[in-house]
Amino acid sequence: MPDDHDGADDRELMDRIVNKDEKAFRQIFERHQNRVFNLAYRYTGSYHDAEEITQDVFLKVYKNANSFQHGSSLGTWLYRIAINTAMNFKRKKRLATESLDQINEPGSMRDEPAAAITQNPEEIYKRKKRRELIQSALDSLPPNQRAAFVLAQFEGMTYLEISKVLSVSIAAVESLIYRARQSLVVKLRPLIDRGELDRKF
Amino acid sequence: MVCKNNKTTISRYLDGLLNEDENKSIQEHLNDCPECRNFYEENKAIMTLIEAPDQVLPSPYLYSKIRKNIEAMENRPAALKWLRPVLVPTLVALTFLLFGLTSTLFFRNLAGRSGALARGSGAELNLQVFNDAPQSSLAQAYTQITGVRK
Repeated sequence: MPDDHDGADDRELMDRIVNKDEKAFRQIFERHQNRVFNLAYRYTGSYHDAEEITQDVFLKVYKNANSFQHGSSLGTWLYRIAINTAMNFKRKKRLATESLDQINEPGSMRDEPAAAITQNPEEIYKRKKRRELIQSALDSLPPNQRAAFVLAQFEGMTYLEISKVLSVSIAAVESLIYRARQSLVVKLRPLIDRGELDRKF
Repeated sequence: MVCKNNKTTISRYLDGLLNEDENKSIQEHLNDCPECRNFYEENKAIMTLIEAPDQVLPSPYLYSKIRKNIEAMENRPAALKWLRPVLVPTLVALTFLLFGLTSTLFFRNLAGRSGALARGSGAELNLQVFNDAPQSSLAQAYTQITGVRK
């Protein structure tokens, strides 16, 4: 749930950001950077892209602090900015580098973590391939389906929360997640059939 | 083949959106229907397969990068800040004006040449191609109308 840090403090800080208070901005950044960054990371699958998106999100927060409405939750507002920024970022990147192979991009989820050193090369290779397949299946989803799926599956948000972030009805969220899941079943059936469910993405 | 109406119900069941009675009903159905059971298991498998990746920490330098961007934004020359909303529409308007002027001049020039051609005789242009035009042909009609003669 994106609201654990919300409350009078966040709203007061946002008021101070409107008046260009750097300390207030830094506090908001410290409180929310991990969530924004991890959402971007889970959406894009790339550490580098997640950093760019996070920068962009907080720049927007600084520029548009006056458009934050006190009646709403800062968490939802931030998630909305973050998911829209991530969707636009991916769209632009896809147009720019459609033909480029990004599989070996440094710092990506597709890379093996340091802990993998203890595994044998065959296991590392299989794990890498599995991650590539999952990431490619996620990448192939339409932006809205992917956003709804990431928010539900990775962020653990309820349909109501997702509907607020994506500004759609709850029924639409349900439909987006249903369709995303059916596409993923089709694309990842080889992994399901091989029984690779004991390993983590 | 999964029972048509049960697909969305199974999906809602997976997401914990059904009430107690509906849960019980779908569980009973899943026990009796192998196709729906398969559909349920595949969807559940996807949710297990695609678990959230571990939390990652952003770079410690992220804040300083954002600060740099903000400073760059704020230090942008004041003239540019108000020029942008004025400059863009002005440039667009100028482009249209230039295009309008060029096309007007072009068509006027073209019209002038056509007029000269229409007014001028075939002799001026040394136009003798229709001299031997057969009777009742279009070419002969043309020579009569425009006055092009031998």
